[in-house]
Amino acid sequence: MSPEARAVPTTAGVVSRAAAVRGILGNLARIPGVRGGLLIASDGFVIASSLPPEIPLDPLAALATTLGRELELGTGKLNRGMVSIAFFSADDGSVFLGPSPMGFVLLLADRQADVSVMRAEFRKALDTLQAAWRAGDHTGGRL
Amino acid sequence: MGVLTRVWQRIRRRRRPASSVELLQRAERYRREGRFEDGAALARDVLGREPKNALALLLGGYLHAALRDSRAARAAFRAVLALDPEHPRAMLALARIAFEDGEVGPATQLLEKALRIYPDFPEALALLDATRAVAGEPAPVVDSAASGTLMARLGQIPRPEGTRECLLLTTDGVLLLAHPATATRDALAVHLARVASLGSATLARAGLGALRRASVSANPGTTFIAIEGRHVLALTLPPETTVAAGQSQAAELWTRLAAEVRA
Repeated sequence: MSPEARAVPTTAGVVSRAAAVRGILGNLARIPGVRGGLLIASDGFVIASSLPPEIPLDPLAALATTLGRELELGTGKLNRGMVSIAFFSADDGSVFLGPSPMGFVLLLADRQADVSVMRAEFRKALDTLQAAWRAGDHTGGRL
Repeated sequence: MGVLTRVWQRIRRRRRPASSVELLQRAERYRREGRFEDGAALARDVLGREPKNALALLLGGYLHAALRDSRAARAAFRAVLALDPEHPRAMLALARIAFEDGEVGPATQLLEKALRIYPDFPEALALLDATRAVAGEPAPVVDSAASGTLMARLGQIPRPEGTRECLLLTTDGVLLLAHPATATRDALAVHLARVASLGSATLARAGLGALRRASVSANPGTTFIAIEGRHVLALTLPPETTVAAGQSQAAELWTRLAAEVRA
């Protein structure tokens, strides 16, 4: 039996305020140099994804959430304030990670991507997410 | 069927309380929508009726974790494991919370157990790789006198103007330099080592290679991180510092520190 066999049953075709959030993620994915993105809840649940199929979704989400929580908890415990954006760079590309009201947003960028442009766009997207969340009625009605 | 019969059936349907399955499906839908409080309330309703409903406990645990309530989430996942000691998702979730709380050993044990039962469990494999790579407790300093001398020498190397904080550590969390020498410097070193390990694991899973540089922006400033072999340099500069400038200053500082470390 696979671990998935015991997962909670899901309901397909749900329209929600998460749709607006998915739209923001979709817009981010159109920035030149962006390979894809993820919106993850703080428990590692993938709310939205625009990752290329060759990237394993669940393991990446598990690690990104753990990294996000480490940044969140570590800076909190050590009185370092709140993390707004984290950026990790390797030889073949980079990762942006930021907090959102639903959990975390992760963005993957190519090696050739203009990091400063992406950073600005990512920050804007995080602000838009926050504003979209606040504008909602917190029951999902308006989004 | 007459109009009255249809109206009566509709009224009866409205009055029929939702079943536990329906409530859990709704809670799961709320989870997908990011309505974690609403979902958690429904899971609680089901548990009010059926305290040993493993699905409600599991979903409730997820929703508490999504709400960043680790204590409630931990209790829920433990309750799932009390009912089903081999539940893979509960073990994974509990391992994640243990890891967040710095309990690397228990987290590793839970992941290893889950993988013994379910070897094809990608998230557990990814997290296990990460837990094995990170520092749990500050690593013991082998020779404190030599370490103190090195720290004093490194402390004399000029740091960039505007430096708010500067730490040099090994990837397993041993502190070589801390400026200023705050009371939380060892805990900060462990945190930075964990961030570097997890950042590296995340990049590797995305197929991008090993971590070279990082930056973390927070209220007091941006911390620029440079990874050089087994060393991690973290330089915190004012928030207005650009990424390019910060990374360049961190790289220059590393060059000066590296000469001393190698000496």
